[in-house]
Amino acid sequence: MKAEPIVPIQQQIVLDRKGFTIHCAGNIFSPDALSKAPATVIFPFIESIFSSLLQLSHQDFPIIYPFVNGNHPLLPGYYEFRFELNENQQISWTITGKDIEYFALRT
Amino acid sequence: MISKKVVLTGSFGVGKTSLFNRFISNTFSDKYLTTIGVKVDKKSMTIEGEEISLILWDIAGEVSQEKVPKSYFLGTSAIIYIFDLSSPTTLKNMQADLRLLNNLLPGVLIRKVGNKQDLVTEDVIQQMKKKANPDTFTSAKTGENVEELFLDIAKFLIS
Repeated sequence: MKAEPIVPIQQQIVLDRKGFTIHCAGNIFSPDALSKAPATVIFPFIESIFSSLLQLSHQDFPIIYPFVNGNHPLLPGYYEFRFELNENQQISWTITGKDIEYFALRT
Repeated sequence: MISKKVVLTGSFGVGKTSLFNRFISNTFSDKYLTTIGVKVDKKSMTIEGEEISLILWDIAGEVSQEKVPKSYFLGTSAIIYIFDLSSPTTLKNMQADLRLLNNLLPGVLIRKVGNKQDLVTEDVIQQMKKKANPDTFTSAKTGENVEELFLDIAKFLIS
C-alpha cells in the first residue's frame, strides 16, 4: 500500500501596500475571510508590523516568525509566518501550521 | 484609531505571559508554561476621548540570547522589561539587555517593571527600588498596578 503524502497546512497570501488581499489560497481558511477588510484590520499581528515591513528593502527579507500564537478565530493554533517582498513591491505572507512541532516541543 | 506595538521581555519565568493575560483577559494561572515563539493580542483603551489599541507581543526567551530574532522588535513603540522581585538573578542581564534594546530601538519607550509584588515584603521592594530603579511594581496575580502600567504607556504613546 502506498502512503498518502502529507499535505502541509498552509495559506499563501499576497497583500498590496494598503494591506488588502490580492491573492489568497490554502487550506487554513477561506479567501472570503479576507475579502471585506485589509489584513491590517483583521489580524492584530499584521496591524502591528505592516507599515514597518513596507519600509524594508528586498535584502531584509524573508522575515520569519517560527511560532506565532495570534489568538485569532481564523488562526486558532501555532503557525510560522514568513514574509517576503515580491517583484511588485507587494508583501507575500506564507502561513504554515506548526501545531505538531509546537506540541512536540512542549512535551 | 491609533495602534501601537508593545513588547514584553525579560528573563525566563518573570511573569511576562501572566502580565499579558492579566491585561488582555483579566485572568491569571499559577501553572508555569514556558512561552514558545510569540503570542500576540490586542486591547483598546480610551484616553481623554481618544481610542488607542495596544498590540502586545509576549516573546519567548531573553533579549541577550541570539535566539530572539531581531524581527520580533520590528515596528515596536514600547518595551516592557520585566524582572521578578522574588528572584534577584532575573536582574543579572538587565543593564546589558537595556543597552541592546536602546541600540536596536533608539528612542523607543522602555518601562522597567518589578513583577510578583505579592511574593515579597516591603523591605524587598525598597531594596529593589535602589538596586533596579523600576518604573513600577506589579503583581500579575492580584492585578496590582497592571492596568495602570498599560494606561501610563498608552498615555505616553498617544501624546
